[in-house]
Formats: sequence, structure tokens, C-alpha cells
Amino acid sequence: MAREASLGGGMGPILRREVQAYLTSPLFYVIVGIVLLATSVLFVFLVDQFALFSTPGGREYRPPGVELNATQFLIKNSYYMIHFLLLFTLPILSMRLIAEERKSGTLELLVTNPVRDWGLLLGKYFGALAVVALLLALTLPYPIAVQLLGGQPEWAVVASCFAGLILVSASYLSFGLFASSLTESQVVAAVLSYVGLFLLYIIGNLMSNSGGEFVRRLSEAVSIEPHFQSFTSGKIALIDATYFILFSLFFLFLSAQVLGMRRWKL
Amino acid sequence: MIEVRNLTKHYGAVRAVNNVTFSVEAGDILGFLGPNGAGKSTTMRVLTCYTPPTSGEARVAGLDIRKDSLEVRRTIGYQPESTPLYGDMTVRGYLDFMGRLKGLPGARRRSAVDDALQETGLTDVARRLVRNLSKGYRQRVGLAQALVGDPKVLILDEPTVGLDPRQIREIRSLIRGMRGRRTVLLSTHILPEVSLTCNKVVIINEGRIEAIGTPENLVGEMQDTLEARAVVQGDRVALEKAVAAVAGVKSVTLEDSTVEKRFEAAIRIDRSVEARPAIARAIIQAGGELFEFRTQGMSLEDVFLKVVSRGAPEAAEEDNHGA
Repeated sequence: MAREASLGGGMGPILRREVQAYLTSPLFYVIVGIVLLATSVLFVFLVDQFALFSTPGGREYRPPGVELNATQFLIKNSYYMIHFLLLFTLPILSMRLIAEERKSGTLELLVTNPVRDWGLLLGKYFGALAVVALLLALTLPYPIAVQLLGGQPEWAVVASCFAGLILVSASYLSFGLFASSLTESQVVAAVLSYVGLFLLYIIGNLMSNSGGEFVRRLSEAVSIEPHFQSFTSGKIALIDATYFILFSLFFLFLSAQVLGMRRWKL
Repeated sequence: MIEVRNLTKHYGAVRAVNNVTFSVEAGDILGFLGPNGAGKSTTMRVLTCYTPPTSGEARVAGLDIRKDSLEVRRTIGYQPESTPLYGDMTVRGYLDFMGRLKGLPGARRRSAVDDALQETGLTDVARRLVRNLSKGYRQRVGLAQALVGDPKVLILDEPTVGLDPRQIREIRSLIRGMRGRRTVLLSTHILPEVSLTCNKVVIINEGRIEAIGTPENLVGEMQDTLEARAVVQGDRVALEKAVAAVAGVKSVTLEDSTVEKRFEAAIRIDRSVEARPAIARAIIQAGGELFEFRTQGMSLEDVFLKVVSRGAPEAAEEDNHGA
């Protein structure tokens, strides 16, 4: 009783059901397939390049400025690749979260049970995040392969890259959750996520040459891109981690407001 | 068990429910009867804490729907309109999920799910995916879901819609069997459903309650004349005269029936006088033969149409003027 009376009441069962729904849906495996296929092709290509640059004859092909460092060359490039793939696949993963329930009417079923709105949202959110964490865990063989190939990866950098990817995913999913809460069409939810995330992604670059100093710095602060780069250095910058956590909380909060709109007195 | 007082709910400018007051005693099965869009679902959504009322009060098992929302939701088993389900789950998995949502711990949840499966006759399909079930079974899964944890109050929004006659009968007898054990509020726009399953009726139209009562006394109150039909044989004029002479008979007309030499008699009787035995005797004494004799009470359908069209005459007249 005490558990359900808390703010997140009902979170547990919904999280469990969400993970179950993803793991039994073909969509998740298609996304896993795409991510793993794309990253493994890239990885093999990178290893090949790295090997080429390492041979006496291949050194001259190495572009200037590229260090011959396994972590830098293999891990970081993979990290960028995975991040790029997440940007494109997470909206597909998150589009169903609320929209599907709205469409099928199960949302009414959920909220007429002893479940709090926040419990419902956090259950859905962490369910999706858990599934993404699983997806990211499936890319762990790359640094392990580097280790086995004798590349001696810097594990601190690997860990911080994963932390960065989790935080980025958390942000993208919270935005996707928000988009999904707005509509009962999954397609609309996905399109909204793409447009929104894309704008938030490039707003820093977009505004860099226009507006005053304040506008430029604000748009840079809000923009996603500058914040996730720091994780490749192996040091988790507190400010950037805070950015992603605040980003997630902000859109979770907005989703809760949208879900609560059924109680509005018009 | 359920008390609703002066409940009003607006959706923007639309007044979906307008100053509705009624109550349901523990163990009652109350039928919420009204045409589509009358405000049945809205009232149910308010009671299940899906959406708050614009004004007015509602209590379920003594709990205020606004102040004790979580506790109210724990007391109620709800089957929303169109029975939303998760197709990707098995029947048992789905019921188990609902049990978890209701906060039932492990062993108690398992037995609650078993009970719900058994009561709705779903034990045999417990391991099948919900989306592979027929419409009738899915409807039953929706009911089973509301039954998980044996809630004191059941709110069922059109539980028999879209079923075939045999399935409708099964669901109805299931609900009828709950009388006394659970408090049930069910909505429908199908009239026989109410007279067959409910012991109390609320007729609602355009957000307003038009009539409340038992199916029998609603019918009784609405009419002062009983219609009787008889199939008789004999001298037409003599029979007509004999029946018309019976005290309490308002009018009688005989018409040729499909069988030769027999007539169909339509007799209108004053409800306050029990004239039926005297009519039967009069027919025999007048030298006639009586083959069939039955009274047709005004059906709940007639009551319903009368009540629902009560607010409409103005509109109908306007239409006439226009034409």
C-alpha cells in the first residue's frame, strides 16, 4: 500500500510489461540488427584502416592529424557511429510508448487502475531505456575485440563512452515519450521526434553566425551536439551529464502535463 | 455503494453529463440505459477517476472520487468501452499484469487470476495470445480483467456489444449471477439487456436522468392501459358485445385471423381493474371458443422510447413546420 501511495506508484509492473513488449516485438530486433550491422561494417573498416596505417608501407596513407591510437581511432569512431544510429532509431522505438495505448484505449485501462501518472510514465521510460541499455551492451564485443587484437583499449574511455550513450539515449527517449504522448498516431509521434531532435541537435550550429552573443551562447547551451562530445575524452564532465539529465527531466515533466490534460476543466 | 450527487461534466462547450443524481445499493445490478452519446461512458469515466467532474460529488464505497482517487480505483473493476486489451500478451499474462497494476502480491495474484479465469470460463484459453482469440473470448477477457482481485464494485461499459446471441446470453447470465455478491453498474443501449440482467434501471438521455426505478415499475408507471390479445372463434358480433360489456374493458376490436373462422381480438383494459378472468368467462358464455389469450405489457422499449422522445417534441414540431 505504501509503495503505491508514492509518486511513482505502479511503475514496476509497467516497466516489466514494457520490456516484455519490446523483447517480443520484431521491431526491437530489426533495430538491433541495423545497429549491429552498421557498426560491425564500420568496425571492420576501421580495423582494416588502422592495420594499414600501422604497416610501414601504409603510414603515408594516414591523413595528417590522425593519431595511431586504438582507443582514439576505433572506439571513438564507433561511438560516433552508434550515437548517429541512436538518433535515427530511438524515435522509432519510442513512438509507440503512449500513442499506441491511446489508440487502442488501453491508456484508459491503465490510469483507471491504482497507478499514478508518474508511475506510468517512469515505467514506460525506464522500460524503453532498459531495452536500449541492452542494445548498447550488445556493442561491447567491439572494445573486447580491440583488446583481443592487442590494441589495449583505454577502458575508462570505453566506460565513459557508454555512459555518454546511455545519457544521450535517455534524452532522446524522453523527447520521444513526450512526442508520443501528444498523439495517438505512432507515425506522427516519430516524425515529431525526428524534427524536434534534429532541431535541438543543430540549433547550436544554426545560431552560431546569427543573433547576438547571448542568443549564440544560449543556443549552444541548449543544443545537444556540444554536450555529448566530451564523453569521448574519458572524463565525464559534470556539466554535460547534468545537461542530459535535465533534458530528460524536462520532457518527462512535459509528458506528465500532457497525460494530466484529461483532468483539465475546460 | 455508489452515490452520485449533482454530477456535471463539460467537455469544452459540450455538456456531456448534466446534474445527474443516483445511487446504487450494495449487491445491486444497475443498468445505465440510453442512446449513444447520452453520457453513460462519461459518467463511468468520472466514477473510475479517469476524468474529474466539472461539478458535483461522487462516492464509491464511501470514498470520495477526488480525495481518495487511488483507493477508489482499487475498489473498482472497470471494463472500458470497446474492451481495450494487449494483443501481444497471453490471456494469463494479461490478467497477471492487471493483478500487478492492482498491487496484488505474488501468491494472492496467482489465485486471483485463476479465479477470474474460472469465473469467465477462460481457463482453457489461458495460454493463448489475446490477439488470436475470437471477439467473444476477447470480450470475456475484458470482463475477467475487471474481475481480477474480486473488486467490490464492477463498472462495465457495454459489456455485450458486438457479441453473437449465444455469447450475449453467457455474459448476461454471468453478470446476473453476481447479484448480491458485487455491486455492478453496466451501461447499454440494448433494452432487453436491462430487463434481463438488472434489478434497477437509470434511463439517461442528453446527459440528464429521465427515469429511475426497477424495470417492472418503470413499465408500470408509464402506462395505465394493458393491451391484451386473444384468438377466438364464434359469432363475431356477439363476442365483441360480450367482451365490451366486461367492467374495465376500454375497447375491443375483432379482426379476421390467418386461420379460417377465427378472429384476433385486440382488447384494451384499464390497468387498475383486473378484468382478464372476466373477459375469458364472457367469451365462453357468449358461445365462443378461446384459443389464445395473452397480455402485452408495455415493453421497456416502449418506456424507453417514450422517455427519450419526451424532450424531443419541440424539435419534431419545428421539423414539421419546416416541412
